[in-house]
Amino acid sequence: MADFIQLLFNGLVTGSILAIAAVGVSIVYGVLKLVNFAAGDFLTLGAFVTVFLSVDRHVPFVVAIFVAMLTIAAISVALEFTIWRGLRKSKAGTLSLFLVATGVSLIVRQLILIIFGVGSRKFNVDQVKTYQFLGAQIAQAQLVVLIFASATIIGLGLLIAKSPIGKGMRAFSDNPSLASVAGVNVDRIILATWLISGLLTGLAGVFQGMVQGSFESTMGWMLLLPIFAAVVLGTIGDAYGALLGGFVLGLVMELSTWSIFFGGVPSSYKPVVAFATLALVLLVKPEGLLGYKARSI
Amino acid sequence: MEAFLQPGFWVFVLVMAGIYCIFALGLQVQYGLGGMMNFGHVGMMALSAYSVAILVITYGWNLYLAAFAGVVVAAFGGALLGLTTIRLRGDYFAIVSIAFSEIVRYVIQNSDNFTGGTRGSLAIPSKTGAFTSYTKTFEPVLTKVQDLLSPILGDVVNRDFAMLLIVWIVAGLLLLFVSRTQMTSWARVLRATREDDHVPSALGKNVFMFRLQALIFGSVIAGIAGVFWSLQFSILAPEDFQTIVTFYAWMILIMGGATRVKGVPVGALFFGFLYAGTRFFEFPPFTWFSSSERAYLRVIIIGLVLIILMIKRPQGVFGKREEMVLEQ
Amino acid sequence: MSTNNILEVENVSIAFGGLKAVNGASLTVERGTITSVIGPNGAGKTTLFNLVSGSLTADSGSIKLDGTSIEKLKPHQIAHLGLIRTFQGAKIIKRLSVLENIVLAGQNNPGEKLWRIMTPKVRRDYEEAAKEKAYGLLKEVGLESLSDSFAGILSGGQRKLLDLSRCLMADPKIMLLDEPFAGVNPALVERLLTVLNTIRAKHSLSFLLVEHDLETVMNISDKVVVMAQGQVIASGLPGSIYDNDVVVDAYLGSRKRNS
Ligand SMILES: Nc1ncnc2c1ncn2[C@@H]1O[C@H](COP(=O)(O)OP(=O)(O)O)[C@@H](O)[C@H]1O
Ligand SMILES: [Mg+2]
Repeated sequence: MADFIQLLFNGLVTGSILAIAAVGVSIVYGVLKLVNFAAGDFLTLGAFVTVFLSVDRHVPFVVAIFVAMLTIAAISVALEFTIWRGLRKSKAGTLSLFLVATGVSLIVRQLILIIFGVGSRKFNVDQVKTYQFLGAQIAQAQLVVLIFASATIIGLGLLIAKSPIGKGMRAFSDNPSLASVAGVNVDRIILATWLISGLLTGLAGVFQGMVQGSFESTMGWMLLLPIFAAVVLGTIGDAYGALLGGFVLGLVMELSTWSIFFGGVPSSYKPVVAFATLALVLLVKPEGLLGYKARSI
Repeated sequence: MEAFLQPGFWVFVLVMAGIYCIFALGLQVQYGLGGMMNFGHVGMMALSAYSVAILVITYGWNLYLAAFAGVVVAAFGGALLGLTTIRLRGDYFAIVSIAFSEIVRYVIQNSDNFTGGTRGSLAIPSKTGAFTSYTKTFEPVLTKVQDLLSPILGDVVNRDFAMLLIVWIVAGLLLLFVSRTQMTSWARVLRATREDDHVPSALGKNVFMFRLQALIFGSVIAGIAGVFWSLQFSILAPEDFQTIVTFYAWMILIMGGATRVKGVPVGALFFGFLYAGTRFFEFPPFTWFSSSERAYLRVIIIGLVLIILMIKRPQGVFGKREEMVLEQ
Repeated sequence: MSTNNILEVENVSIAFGGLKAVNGASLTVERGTITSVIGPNGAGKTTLFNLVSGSLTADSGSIKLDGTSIEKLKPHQIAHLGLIRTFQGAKIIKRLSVLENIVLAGQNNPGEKLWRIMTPKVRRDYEEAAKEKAYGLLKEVGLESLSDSFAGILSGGQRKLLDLSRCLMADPKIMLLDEPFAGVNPALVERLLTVLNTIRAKHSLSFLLVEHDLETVMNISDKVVVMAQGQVIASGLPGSIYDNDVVVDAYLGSRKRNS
């Protein structure tokens, strides 16, 4: 039972991080029809910028986090102006967008290596302190992440449901031509999308770094597969679906290591579990958890 | 800088270009013909290369039989990927295919007793208990080719040169075979499915089966590339088969103009020289960086080239613009 | 039910979310006749086509093609049984040549099997015969001069003609045409109608047409089926439709009063 509580808790923590990152990827897809392969590496960059500021430059942790989030948002917006806008104008197809995004991802990862070095890094947060809860060991860092991530998710849900920007984003991803006819300011929606996605990605990176303890340049790439799995699971482009997909996958990944399931899956196989789950769901429901039916072949 | 002047280095570059040519040819069948955005292509190469090593080292198979089995395993990999994902939309397919190859790599990396894990093929448990090289029976073949050629061509002929010859002969044969298949009605149906699923299926074509065949065909070719990869390097490691390798193949395909088989070798040579050429950036600003940092810079340059290519010439260096336009 | 029916659709329904796009629709097509489905936009005509041709699977109901149940079959299997459809707006394969678009529709082409790369003669023989037949069909609609151009360059009207001859290449028993006359100028409508009549006489085919507008199909249809909001609200001889009160109220009403 204690095992179960422990894994459930771990699953919620992982799930909340996946959910935040997945929403960032999903809204970009919804509005721009772009599968952002660079998200994983931007996530890493967020963690590295934070560690650089807070540990190396002694900036207060919270301030460092905000600066890191803003950095990722700023880079995302800058890329919109330098790359994505032009590609959209020239009506680039899915493949072009894919390849350019992969190119960006490679460049960001190498830049992290050049700027911050190869070694693994750690935040100045207490990694040792744990609380007992129904027999489970709950690390302080995990608890902090879960609380702040939950707050972010609630805020995000409200933002998407209630704010004009959120409504515009949803209208635009449902039907771009109709939305622009209906007077939605397309350029503003796109910028807001990049901004929000960048902030979320940076934040998810910091959270993941805190939970993991130490991290290196490949952190984001390792997380990218589960993030994509969450996005697809929740139907690509659907922000609420991404939240749901994130939690479902977080729980499945952690609970799969539970020893009562044939001794449990080794924890290095967690990303494999994420994708096996996704493959199963897609076999049954090719359009994702919340998608419509449509069959062609 | 001396390496720049050494023929041996360029021979190596050409061997790699040949292996990449074969590898990218598999993508050409899948994307150029069938429009499938397979981003997990490297997974098939990994499956085949590791199968060769494991079958020879652990099970004591004959190398050539193992090579054949490696290609068959890659074909099964393609079938497995296809059966689960062909019905998915293009972007879903791309994501899931990446996942496929990453899962292959994770499994290789984490199955120490079977694949050697992070220590690579050197740690594959051998049948005899003693260290065995899986290429042992192939080296005499290379020596024989060398002995045949040295009297004619002189000093240039080394192990890699013999390999170069074999790889490119196979690449040439495969190119011929693939361009043959592209003139068949089979290929016509695939070209149609590339634009639209509904029309061909309303005309009685089982689009699923056509795509599956193209995927397996391409995977077989990737499997052949994997065999050569394993023969060329004699040592395999999980990090040889990262997603970036698939990305290089895409770069080759795009440079050559994705719908043209003839573009593939041109793209492969171009890529080979770009990749190797960036080693010789021994002037400022590159000299400001340490040699390990310059390895990162090389990937950055390749990433930049691809981005610029996609923005300025999406039809490829040698492709026709109209091909891309009609695609919209 | 009469065995002279090539197609029997009985009580089929499908819902998208809460929307019942087709709601218990039934119709029959008699062998060798033209049946037209008319109805306002959104009536469910295209969805009905998608159900019959297998692109969608009905939630309930049965569909029989020449006595065989097809409601569970996939589109390509239904095509093999001799039902060939067009799509609204004439979908052609832009990057294949006009001739190749037609050859594509040939059935039982041995060259479509990958292993036939080993038997070049069999492939070539079929291909030559198929090209000849395709060229003949192009001639029937007057597109032979364009046979080697990319289909992508064709005009809207030419695409519709190509679409028609492509269906014929498959030697169907029944053709389903989705709004073949929509967005076509009056001269071309005449032309298409003539072509249809010739085809019908020459190839002894059955047709199910979908049209938005009754007037166009009035003269060539043997039977008219009126749909509104997913349901068949009337069917009968073209002339009888004008006298049907339900139809007049639901669909024709405004226009009849105006004229
Ligand atoms: N794949 C689908 N998903 C959701 N709604 C659909 C789908 N296809 C059609 N519909 C809806 O079903 C109704 C009937 O559409 P359709 O059959 O295209 O009408 P028609 O061809 O008679 O104009 C419309 O309200 C349409 O929006
Ligand atoms: Mg319609």
